[in-house]
Amino acid sequence: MSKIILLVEDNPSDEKLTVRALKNCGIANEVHVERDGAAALDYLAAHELPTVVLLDLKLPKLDGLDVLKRIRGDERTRLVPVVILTSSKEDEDVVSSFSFGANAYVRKPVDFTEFAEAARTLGLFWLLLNEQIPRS
Amino acid sequence: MEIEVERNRLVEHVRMLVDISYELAAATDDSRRVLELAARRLTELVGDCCAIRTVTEDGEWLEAGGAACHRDPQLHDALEAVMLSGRQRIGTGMSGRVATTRLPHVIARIDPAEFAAASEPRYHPLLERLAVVSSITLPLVCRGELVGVVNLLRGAPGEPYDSGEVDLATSVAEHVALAIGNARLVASERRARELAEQAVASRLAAEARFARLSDCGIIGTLVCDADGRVHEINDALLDMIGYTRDEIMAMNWRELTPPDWSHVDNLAAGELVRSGVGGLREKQYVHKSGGRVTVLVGSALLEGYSTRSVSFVLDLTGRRAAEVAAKQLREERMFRALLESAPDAMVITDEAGAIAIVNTRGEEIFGYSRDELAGKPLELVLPDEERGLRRDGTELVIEQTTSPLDYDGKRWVSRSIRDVTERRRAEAQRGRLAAIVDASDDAIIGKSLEGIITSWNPGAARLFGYTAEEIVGESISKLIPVLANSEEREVLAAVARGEVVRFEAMRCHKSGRELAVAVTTSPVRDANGRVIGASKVARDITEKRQSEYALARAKESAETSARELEAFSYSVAHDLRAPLRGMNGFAQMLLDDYGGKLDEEARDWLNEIANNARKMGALIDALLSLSRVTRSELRRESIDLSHLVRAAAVHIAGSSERVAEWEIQDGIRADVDPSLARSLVDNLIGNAWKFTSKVAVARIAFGEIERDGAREFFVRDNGAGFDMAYANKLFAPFQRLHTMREFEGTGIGLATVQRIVRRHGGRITAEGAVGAGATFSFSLPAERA
Repeated sequence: MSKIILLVEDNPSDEKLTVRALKNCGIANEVHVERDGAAALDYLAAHELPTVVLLDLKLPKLDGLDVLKRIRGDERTRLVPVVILTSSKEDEDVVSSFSFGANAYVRKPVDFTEFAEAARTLGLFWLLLNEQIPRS
Repeated sequence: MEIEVERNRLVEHVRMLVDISYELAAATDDSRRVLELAARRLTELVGDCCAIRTVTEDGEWLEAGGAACHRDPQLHDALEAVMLSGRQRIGTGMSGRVATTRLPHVIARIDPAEFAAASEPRYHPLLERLAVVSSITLPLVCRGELVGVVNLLRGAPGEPYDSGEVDLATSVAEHVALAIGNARLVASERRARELAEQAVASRLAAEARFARLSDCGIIGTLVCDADGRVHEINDALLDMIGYTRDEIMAMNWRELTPPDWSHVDNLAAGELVRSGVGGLREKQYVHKSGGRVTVLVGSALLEGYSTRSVSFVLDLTGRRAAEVAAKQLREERMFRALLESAPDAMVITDEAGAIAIVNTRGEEIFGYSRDELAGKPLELVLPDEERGLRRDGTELVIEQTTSPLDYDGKRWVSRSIRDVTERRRAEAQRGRLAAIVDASDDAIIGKSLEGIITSWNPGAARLFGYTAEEIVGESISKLIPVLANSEEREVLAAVARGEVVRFEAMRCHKSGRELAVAVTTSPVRDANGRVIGASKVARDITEKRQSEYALARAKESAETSARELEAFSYSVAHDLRAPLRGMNGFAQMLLDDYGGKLDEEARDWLNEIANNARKMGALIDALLSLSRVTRSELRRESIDLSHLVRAAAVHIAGSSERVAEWEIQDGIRADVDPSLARSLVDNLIGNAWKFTSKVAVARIAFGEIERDGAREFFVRDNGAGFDMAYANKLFAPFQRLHTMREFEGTGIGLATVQRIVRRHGGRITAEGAVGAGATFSFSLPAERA
């Protein structure tokens, strides 16, 4: 498994902020960005699996939940950690995300300081603390 | 006819008595002649034969002499030979015993063996020869003294003696006894003094003759002068006219004859003077009570007097009265039976209104026995015309018919009373039901099991457009669209089985318009429980259908709006926040990366941009949460509010350095929506925490109290409080009682709280004072009504 983080985000501002937040906390991994759901699935199909997928819910073409369902439905990708990173904190979104197999749900705070803190925690957890799935 | 025969016989009877009396009176001086005359007369009257024997002076024996007579001359001698041949000891044999008891002895139908046993052996051959079938043996008593015995015998093939013959014989015997007594008196007088003149003796005898007329006879006897002065009268006659003997002695006998009958008396008086015998006549006397007594009278002049006569009076009224009485008795019995068998209570009251007679049904209805009611005022059981009163105090509704009843010279009232309490109740019930049926907005239709309409209420007329006159007798199919006819057959079949069928269907109005109706068809049963028809209640649901449709459309459109709102909220959440995040983030990044190259003022402005973006984010969040309160469906669960409060406290104060005392009552649960409950608690605790930020030691309490019988929860703090004058502004969105500089906030938190409480059907109130803290009290009823 690579040390790549797959960020699926269509908003360029959010993309910059997320990358910056991850960098700020010293996560040096390569962050690969895909800007819509279909592209994200194409990437996953064509590349080595990333350490974690940071997935926005509201995406052009295929939205986040559909992407999540496809990932979990595909034997090859079903164990990839997926963290939902979104603006919404609707209960319904949270519940459906987890029920479709998301590993975590993080709401992007408006305040960048908080956002940076959230990204740091995320990175630490998924990249450093969490045991990697053994390669088969 | 019978009465006529009886009457003729009585007339004959009296005529004979008159004759016999006259003859006997004429023969008083010769006792032998008296006996022979008597024997002959009795034989003629009641035959077949008669023997009269007198008592000896010492009273011990029936004398060997006397008189005997038989219709048949051949038997006459034999009878005389046996009957008069020897004396008979008083006390022995049939005649001897009658002499002792002085009571008549009548054997209407003789049992030969028994008769033989009762009579002396020496008479047996005679009795056999006479072939006796019936006998009368009478004592002859004069002035209390037994003077002789009369034997009357009838042989085969004659009829047994009847009561009329016995009466006649008894009357004649009384006269015979008197004649014998008088003859003896005359004889002894003559013997004793031998100086009495014939006339004097005769007069004496005549006076004595009637001195003591039998007081027990059924025939009245009177001795009176032509001028009406009464000398002798017997009890029978006194009974007939109702006076006492003393009263009559002081009166004039002629007063007793009403003027309209005096001509009859006058005729008889003339006859009496001419021939010595007054013709037999029917006339009336005035009874003491004022009533009339109809009598048959025969008179004879007394021997030795020119104006004094003896009259025999027979009470025809009495005879008739007996007939009438018997008839009355029969009628009374029938009347009784009629009375008792009447299905209604019968009450007869007298002139004073007192109860005289009550029948069995009357006893049943009123609960009294007839003895208890007798003599009581009618009002006891009938306080008025339409009400009855039972003994137990319950009232009856009655119907009565009254009719006057003239009886015994009085005016009575007969009442027939029917207890109609139940019937009236049933009628009232039926009336009410009919009124309900008439007033019903629903169509109520009766129909036979063949589907023929039998009744039709105004509701049916309104619903279907037909009047009752138009439709009763028609088939129900007139109301049913052709396509639904088979369905009606099924319904009738189910009703015939006793089922109640409810359904909604289309029906036809008279105009041809179709109606949507809800129908309930139920079986109608007769008293034996047999289904004889159906009742059908139909309600127009066309409007209901329309309103249901309208409602469905409104609901649909509301749901559409809700979905649109949902989508809107979602984009607000997602899309509005993203630019804010950009504003804040890039301002922050600018500060981080290039802060050193900017002066103080520029840095401050960048901070303002970042802060404002953050605040707008918070505002959007708050608005979303407010809209979520109304948007989300309420889902009730038993939630531990104490636990939520504690969690909120930990969350909010956990990392704070402020000093706070929390007083959280344990185990407070409520049936609430879990997510809304959390929002409620977070907002209230957050509010309390925020407004206590300026006090040295924050005191925040959560608990439960009871107010007006309902549970109420409260969150109390010792913070900044508020002016009660603005309490109403507290819960309005975006209303703030404090400046942003004092306390940050969106102004939406308490609005959200109020909405959550209201969605649960509860109320929230706030109490407080500036600088003295605030208390928010709210209720969360278990279920919304």
